[in-house]
Amino acid sequence: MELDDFKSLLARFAQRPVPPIAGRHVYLWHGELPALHALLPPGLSIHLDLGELARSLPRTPLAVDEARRVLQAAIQAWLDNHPPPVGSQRVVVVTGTALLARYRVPLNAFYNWAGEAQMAVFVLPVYETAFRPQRPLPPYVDFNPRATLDYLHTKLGDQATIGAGMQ
Amino acid sequence: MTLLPLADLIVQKPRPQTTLSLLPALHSHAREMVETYVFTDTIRHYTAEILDAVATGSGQGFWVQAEYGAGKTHFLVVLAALLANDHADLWSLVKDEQVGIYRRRLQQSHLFPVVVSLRGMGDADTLTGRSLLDVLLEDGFEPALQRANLEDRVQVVAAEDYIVWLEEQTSTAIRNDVEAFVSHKTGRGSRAFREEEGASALARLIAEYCQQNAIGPKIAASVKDRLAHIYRQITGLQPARYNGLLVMIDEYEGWEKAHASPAARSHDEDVLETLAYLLPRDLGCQVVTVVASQSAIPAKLLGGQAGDRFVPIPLLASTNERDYDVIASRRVRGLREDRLPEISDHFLYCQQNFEFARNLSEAEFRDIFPFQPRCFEIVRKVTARDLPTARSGITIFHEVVSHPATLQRDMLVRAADLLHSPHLVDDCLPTPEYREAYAAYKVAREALPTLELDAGDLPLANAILDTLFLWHLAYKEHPRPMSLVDLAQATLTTSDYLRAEDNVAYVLGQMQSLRQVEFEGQQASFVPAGEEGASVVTLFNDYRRRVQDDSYRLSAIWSDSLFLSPQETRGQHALFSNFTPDEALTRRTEHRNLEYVGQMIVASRWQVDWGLPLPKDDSHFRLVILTSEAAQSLKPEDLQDPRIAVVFSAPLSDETARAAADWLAWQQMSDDYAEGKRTGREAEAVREWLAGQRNALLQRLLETQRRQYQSGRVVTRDGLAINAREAFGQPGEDRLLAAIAAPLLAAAYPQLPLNWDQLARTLRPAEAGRVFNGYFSRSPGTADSAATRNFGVALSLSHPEKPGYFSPQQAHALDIIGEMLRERKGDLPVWKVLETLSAPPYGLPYVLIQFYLLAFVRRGDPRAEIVLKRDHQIKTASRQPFPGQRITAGNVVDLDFKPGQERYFDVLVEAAGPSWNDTVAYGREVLAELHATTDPAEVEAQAQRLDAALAHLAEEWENASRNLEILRQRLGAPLPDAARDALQGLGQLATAGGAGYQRFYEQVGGLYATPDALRDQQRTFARLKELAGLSAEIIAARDYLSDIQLRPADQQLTLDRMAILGQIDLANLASQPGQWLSIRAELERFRARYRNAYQKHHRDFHAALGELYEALAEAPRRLRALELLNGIQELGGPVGEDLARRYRTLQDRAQPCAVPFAALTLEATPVCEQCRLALTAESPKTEVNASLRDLDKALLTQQRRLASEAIRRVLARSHEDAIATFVQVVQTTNLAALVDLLNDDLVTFIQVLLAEEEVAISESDLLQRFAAAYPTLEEADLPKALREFEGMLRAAFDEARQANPEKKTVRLTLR
Repeated sequence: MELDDFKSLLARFAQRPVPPIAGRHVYLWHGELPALHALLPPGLSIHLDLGELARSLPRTPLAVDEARRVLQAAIQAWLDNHPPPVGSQRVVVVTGTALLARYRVPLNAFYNWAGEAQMAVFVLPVYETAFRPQRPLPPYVDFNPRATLDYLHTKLGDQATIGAGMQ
Repeated sequence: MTLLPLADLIVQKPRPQTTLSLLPALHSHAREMVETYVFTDTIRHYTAEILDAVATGSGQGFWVQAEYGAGKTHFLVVLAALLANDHADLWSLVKDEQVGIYRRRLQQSHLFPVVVSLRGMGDADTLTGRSLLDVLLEDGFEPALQRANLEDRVQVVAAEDYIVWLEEQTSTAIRNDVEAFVSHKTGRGSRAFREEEGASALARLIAEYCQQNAIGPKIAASVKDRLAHIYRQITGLQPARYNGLLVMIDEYEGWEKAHASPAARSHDEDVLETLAYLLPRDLGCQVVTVVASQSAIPAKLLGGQAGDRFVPIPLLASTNERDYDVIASRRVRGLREDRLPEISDHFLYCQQNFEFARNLSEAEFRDIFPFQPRCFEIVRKVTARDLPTARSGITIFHEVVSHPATLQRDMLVRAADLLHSPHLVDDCLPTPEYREAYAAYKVAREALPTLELDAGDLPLANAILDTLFLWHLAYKEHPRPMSLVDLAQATLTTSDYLRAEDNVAYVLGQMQSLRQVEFEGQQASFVPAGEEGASVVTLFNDYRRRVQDDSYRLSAIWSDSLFLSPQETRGQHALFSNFTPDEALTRRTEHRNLEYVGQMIVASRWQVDWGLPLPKDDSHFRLVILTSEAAQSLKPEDLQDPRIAVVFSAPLSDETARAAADWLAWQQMSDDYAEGKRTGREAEAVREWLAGQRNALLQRLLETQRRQYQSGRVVTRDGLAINAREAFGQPGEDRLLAAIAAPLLAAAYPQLPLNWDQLARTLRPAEAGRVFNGYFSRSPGTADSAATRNFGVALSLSHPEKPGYFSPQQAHALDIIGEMLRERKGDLPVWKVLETLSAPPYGLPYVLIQFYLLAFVRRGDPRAEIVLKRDHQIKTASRQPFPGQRITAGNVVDLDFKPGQERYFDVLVEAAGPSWNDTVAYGREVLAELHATTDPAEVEAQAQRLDAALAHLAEEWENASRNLEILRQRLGAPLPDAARDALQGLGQLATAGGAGYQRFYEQVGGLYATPDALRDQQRTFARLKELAGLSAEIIAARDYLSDIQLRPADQQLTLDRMAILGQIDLANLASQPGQWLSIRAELERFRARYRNAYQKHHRDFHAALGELYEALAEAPRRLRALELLNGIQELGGPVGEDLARRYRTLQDRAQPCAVPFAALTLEATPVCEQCRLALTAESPKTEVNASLRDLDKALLTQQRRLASEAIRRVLARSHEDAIATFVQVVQTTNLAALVDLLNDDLVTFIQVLLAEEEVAISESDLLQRFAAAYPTLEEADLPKALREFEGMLRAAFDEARQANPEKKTVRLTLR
């Protein structure tokens, strides 16, 4: 999605519920958080930091599938506790999205939560995908700075991805 | 007809939830989802198919395929909610009766619902190896079991089976060994490890241990075993809770795309096949599987019928489009049930004005009210491209129908109104699919006000532009122009003065300079065009400058343009597009209600032979129109026939020259920039601009053509004053020709031998045939009889008083023929008649001369015959060759009249020899099959048939006479003379049956002078029989209309009723019983309108009565109180004694009727059969209010008496609490409290108290007498008046005292 289109969508979304043209209102902002905040009309958004959410978990299993379950349940609980206020719109800005890719967390909780008056925006800063180690890593280490971007982009598609980093 | 605004007719609904997520909608909003679901015919059918499968107790798979946003999630939620059957009250929310009946059938069915949405689950899971089965188990079964509190009783994943196996099916030694293995591997005990890392991690260690020690635990591993294992656990729960599974998988499309590898896809399809097919078939499991996807069923899973794999359920496929209209309407608004009659008003109005409504039943109109049907077509098409179809559509419709501008209007929502929707305008139109067209539309919208349209036309122009724009979007791949008629309907255009489409065409004509609007012929379209640079225009101006002074070329191109064909003009009309230069064409024109044939030529130069006399072949005029290139040198004396006219155009005007120069420049420029001559973007832009200008330039040129000739001149031999301006101002070639030919023919034919001004309309050849049949055919049709009435008198073949009867007494044309026959001594060649009568000064067309010749023969005065040519082709009415070579008075009636038959007529001769067998001539009017013969046996047989026909006639006569007599009595009008004569004559004739044909001949000869007279009465009788058959229906209709009472405001109904009653006229129906069909149709239309008005009246009247009935509810208690007070004689005379009777009367009248207004069909009677309410009835509101007022007044009178000092003093002496309270209430004038307090005991007590005072109450009219004595009073008279008043008082007291000597006190009640 073009930046201007996303701006226009946010402006309209601030005014009234907007039926999504394609899929659900679940987007990937491939850029810096302040830049996103600059676009968001005041009072519209709430913040979900997945890193902070993970730190609050009662246990942190090593097994990937169990870790995914625990995180998935925590996300679902958080969303259940943040229903949209009646008669207005809400955008949940999700940071710490690397956890989603790391533990292969499905995004269905966000899809179920999103609606004409609810929007979810995953934030993936460009500096994360642009990161390059200063020194060469050992050959047995496979370093892929785009892993999170690939994971989220694969799930959301071009239509829901905003940001220059995709080219 | 006054129409209510939409706000008064619809119930606004809250914004529909259209973006649903399956699980939240099912678990949190199931009630709302079920309650709001619309079961259309198609959806009902599919729902029943699924519910049927469940009811039979077998398993089945269903594949719900629907486009994006089409409402499949809503469908799934409703299906899951009903099938899970967890909440019985959900079924009570199903409004559809046919679906509702499954509630009982499914009572014993309890499916365990497993619902999973694959949205967001897809793609990336391939990285971790999660299969569809994993997702189904972990995100479908496990949450579902948790929700049902069964998570500890059913093991879903294999990991749990491993742990259960270890805990329940192994020895202590193995368990200890596994514990040690886990501890060694993890440093923790198995319980602690499981709590931290989960069951799967522990199960993996157990599996590893088993593998190392060659132990094979019994774990269901295959897809089928695992699912069957779960199924058995769920259905085997004790106590029994479920007898089957409902597996519902949404958003399969995305999952399928992400698992595109053959292996992954095959694995997923195995899971679905197992659920939908293998488990039910092999193991008898009742597993109902519903998969929803935008894509079609994979071939492997396709099942054509129940019992096979997946049965397809296509939602909102192209064949179910009406579903869309109904769903969208019902989702966004409700209809006010109490306003259904007013919605019917809209229906009647639309039916009256618009074709689309005439194609809808009233129920269909209500289904989609308040939307004009075109709205659905547009929205559905527009939202089908990269937009969430129904979701966007419902949002658009909701926003439009909730818009204040829409609600205040008293007309349907039109296509143009869709642009009130912010979702359509701001969300949908800016998408790449529509962005370009939308930009062009905005340019056009901004330019529209600059066109300087009349203020009254601007709203229509806006609506037209909006409609065309949306119509373009709907069909943008294959643009369809919209016809003017459709455009008028889509914009709901009406006009008092023009046809609606003419009004639209007029406004469109003014919008043509917009690049975005294309208007050609009878249709228009939107073109998503932008603006061109100025350079093209400059270039074009140069081309024009180069040609504008070349007058010869301009004249030539202007002349050429006269003949441009519609293909060349793309549908526009060149003045002479039907002509080829210099070629004479045959044309017909109408003059004096006759049709004349002649020649018309458009030429660029004069030819001498065009000035010669017209040929003698029924040719009556020659019109030569010369183009601007022709020399103007012709003189009147060059013309040798008065019926020739030559038209010259004026020299080209400046305006014409400019238009011609534009067109010439366009041609040259188009040639220079033709494909192949120049290439590149600039050349392409020029070509595109030229293509856009073509129609407008050509139209301007064509518009000059008439004006050039209007300024020209017309030359005739006799110098007739023919006005070219007027002639070329006429629209259409026909009227142009008529305008010039009419003066020519009028001057040439001063002795036209018929009364042309009495012709009802133009007498064309076909009409001449109908007149012939009307007079002479044995079975004339309705049109034939009408033709004799329309033309007979004018042709002088009928008397004005009997216009349908052949009576040629004063026919000038016949006289001329007779005179010519005499002159030629009884032997007159027909060509001579044709030549004479078709030429000046008579001017009869050939077809009429042919007709007159036949009429001359039929008249028989003198008796004449037409000798036919040897090889004539004339036929009889039964399509047989006409027998013999002569047309006589007897056989002329058998002839099949066709124009052009005069060429077979040879000679008109006087008839020789006597006529024979008059009986047959009459007899055939009774039985047409009779014929002349000399064979005695045949004569006898035919005579018997004649007798039988007369007997049948007698029977018919009896029946018809009886019914007609009843009809006559009920309608209170006599039958017309002709009908009475026919009944009388035929009644007498019928008595001749059975006595042989001689008797018949004698009888008929006495009754009828000619067979024609008998035929005339037979025709009348045929009509009377038809009327008699309708008599019962006619009487019922008349009574219905007569019983109707209408209000002064029902003007239209009153006029309609009068019109229908006026048509139920015995004389009228007797002559034209076929008119009853149209009267019946009118009656039905009237009944529909009347019913609507009556329903409204019945509703409002009884609502008002209900209120009055409520108001009267308190009256009985008050009346009882008044009755008690009136019983206290010591207070004075009773008051309001008639109030109880008035109350009883009013209570009866204020009883509301229980019949709902919608149930009033008024088919048999024009009033409600329950309450017999007349439309004119008014509620007794005034009487009720007056009665209640009078009751209060009477109570107040008694209250005042009780409150008088004397009474109060007496009552105050009582020490009873009740009396004390009573006195207080009486002083406060609180009537309600007074009524509450009064009862028999209290009144008795008061009576005793007052009786002890021995007070005599006497009424006196002294106030009246005083007023009579002093109607006016001045201050000076006061002492005298007071004295007199005192005297009157004293006298009254004396009188009262004498009348009540036993009482201590006397009290007067004054009046």
